Amino acid sequence: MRTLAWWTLTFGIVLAASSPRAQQAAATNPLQGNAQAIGQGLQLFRSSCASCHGLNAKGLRGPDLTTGQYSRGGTDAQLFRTIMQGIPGTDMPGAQFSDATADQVWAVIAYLRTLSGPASDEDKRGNAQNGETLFFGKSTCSQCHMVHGRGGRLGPDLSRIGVTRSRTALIDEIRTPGRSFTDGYWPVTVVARDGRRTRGVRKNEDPFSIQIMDTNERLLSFDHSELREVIREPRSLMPDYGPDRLSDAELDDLIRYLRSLQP
Amino acid sequence: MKRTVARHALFLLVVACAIGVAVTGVLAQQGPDGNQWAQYSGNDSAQRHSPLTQITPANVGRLAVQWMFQTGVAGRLEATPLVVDGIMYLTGPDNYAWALDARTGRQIWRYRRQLPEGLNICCGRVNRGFAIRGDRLYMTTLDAHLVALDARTGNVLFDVEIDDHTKSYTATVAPLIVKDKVIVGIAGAEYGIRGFIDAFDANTGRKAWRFWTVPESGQPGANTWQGDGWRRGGGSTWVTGAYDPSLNLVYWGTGNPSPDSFGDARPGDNLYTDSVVALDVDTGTLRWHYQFTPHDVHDWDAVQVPILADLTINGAPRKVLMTANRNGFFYTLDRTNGALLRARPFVKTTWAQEVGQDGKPILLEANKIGTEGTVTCPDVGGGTNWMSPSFNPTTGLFYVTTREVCAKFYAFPQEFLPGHLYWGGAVENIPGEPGFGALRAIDPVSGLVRWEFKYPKPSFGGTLSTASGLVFAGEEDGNVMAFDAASGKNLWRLQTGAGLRAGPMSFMHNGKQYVVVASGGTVIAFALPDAR
Repeated sequence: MRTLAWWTLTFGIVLAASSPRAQQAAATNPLQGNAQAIGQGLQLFRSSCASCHGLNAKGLRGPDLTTGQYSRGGTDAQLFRTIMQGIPGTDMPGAQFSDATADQVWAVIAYLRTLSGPASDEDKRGNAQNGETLFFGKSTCSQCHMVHGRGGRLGPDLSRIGVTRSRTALIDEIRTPGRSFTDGYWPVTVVARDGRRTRGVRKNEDPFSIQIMDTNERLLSFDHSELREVIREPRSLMPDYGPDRLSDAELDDLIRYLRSLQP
Repeated sequence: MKRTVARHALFLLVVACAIGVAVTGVLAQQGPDGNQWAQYSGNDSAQRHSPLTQITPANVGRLAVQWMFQTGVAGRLEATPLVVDGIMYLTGPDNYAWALDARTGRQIWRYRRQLPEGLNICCGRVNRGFAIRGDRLYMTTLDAHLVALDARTGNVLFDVEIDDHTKSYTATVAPLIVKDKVIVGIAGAEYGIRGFIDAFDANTGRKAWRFWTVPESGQPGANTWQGDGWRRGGGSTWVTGAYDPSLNLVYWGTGNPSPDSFGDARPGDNLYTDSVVALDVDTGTLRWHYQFTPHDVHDWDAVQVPILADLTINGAPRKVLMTANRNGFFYTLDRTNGALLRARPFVKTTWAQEVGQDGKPILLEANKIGTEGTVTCPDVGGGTNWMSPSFNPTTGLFYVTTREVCAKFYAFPQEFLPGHLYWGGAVENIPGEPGFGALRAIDPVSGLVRWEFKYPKPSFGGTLSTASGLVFAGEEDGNVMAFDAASGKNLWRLQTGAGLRAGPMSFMHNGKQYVVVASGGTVIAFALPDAR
């Protein structure tokens, strides 16, 4: 009976700020080390977490969960709260808005504990200070991306990107951007009936209207009936940063900087 | 064979020529009392077609909100309200329920069930609506009970267990009243239940019969399972069926086998999962079945509302059952015997080339899934899902909200543990390919799409047809809309602010026709401002 899976659909629904089903966290995981619970946690992880964190939990759009480091705290109670309530302002939804029970969340945590190992040596590569200089300088990242109030608005704010992206995911998104788009940043060109074109990123759209931020960072609204067409571009507005534009050493620096951006 | 939207569009001209045959061939159908909406799907045939004609293509542009009712309860509405004698009966999340003044939206009573903790529920703490018989309302509950309420007070008249919720049985289905029986389905296949359809005596709540959707050893169909897999074989029945009084048959769709994705745990076709079953109303005896997706590994429940109509096909009148299936194919069956009359994709499908003469899909490589993952279309949400379709006997068209999405499916071995999710797999979205949705009008004679109206997002809103030639529909971005039933032209819309996950309905009160739909946690009633 799964219907696009509860985590995808029900998490997408904006509900009340607090749910009567919100569960209170125990101080420690009552299912820690429980073999059955770990197995159940694996199933739950594959079904409800893997889309963002990857089937191996090493991170896709969401962070690597195998390092033992968690941005919102790594105690049992902190992990429980993070999973149950989600992380406001990120794509991490709260399980309390679905059908998840406390035991299910504890089972996921029990499973995650079996994955944790030391941070990879790769995470220690590069120089964050050099990366920051690159970000606001030569690599022009800040033309579109903001960090702590500095930079552009056309791309996602990266002030906490170190929480939400693994090193691997960041390399992919810098070297070959456009393999996936975050909601609110899909590149589009709207073509008016008189042929006038406006390029930007899509903030929202329904069958009758579209809202975009154009490349001058203006928020604009159009009715589809007034448009000749909406061209949905297959690539991100962000250019490829191949080795010709960003050497491997510079990439290490930039990623070290981005990974340092945590609350 | 792949059939794309573009290809569907190419068929429009052909269908437009052929449709004349279908329209003239549609026989008169029983319809609901135009003043009432007394069943989940409007009438026994489940056509969700209102005979009311006050709201027309010419005046629908003036449709205006009459009232809104906000439940104040967290969670979304997926129910179709009932209206009888000016009172609206609505069910909501967590088995809340309400009676409202259908004219003003003012609450008359509220019911809330005390639910036990720790329920195993896949896919939403929702409910899809009441059934009504006389002054009694019937509702299934998340803890797998059937409750009968006094329609005037909301007081409980009886409360019977359908099955044991500690075994992961749960219920969200709107019951179907047939004669003196209340027929209900069950949910829980994601936890490895064994599915069934139950009939209860409407007066006493006593069990009248049970039809197991997964046969036990020794029963017909058991040879499509191995070992004791049938004990946890799934086959949920979580959306309301249809009824043909002339054949004394009830038709009901069945859901996925368990585990959902790891098919190696259950070699065989896995009857009667992903099927429609035709049951004798009085005894629950199986008269025939048709399985849409043998040995399903994609969670493509066949619970979509089956619509009954009489069509002329190849010059002969046929009693048909029509369904747009989650697996991406539209089917027209002979409802007297289950014979396949037409099967054709209505969305992009990559798992089957076509449905063969023997009624079985001719599988493609993309149907196989394993630990490496396989991209298949449609996705786990399917070409359509629980959202109600509708059928207009005059246009001869079947209106359904469709989803054009693909996904990467995985299968993993998994041990069954009671009370634990039993999927044996995972599903990943395709990066950069969110898909889209569309309202489509399908000719059930040819199986071809006659018109479509695209939505930016894959949607889960139901549809309503009216005798005045309108189709009402809702979509994921919050629009409730009216379309010309013949051409698909959009004639009216309102942005409601929340995705629509319920089926619209219509009723007449004090000479005014209302159209009602739930949006998020709000029920909205529309009418013409000067209809009196």
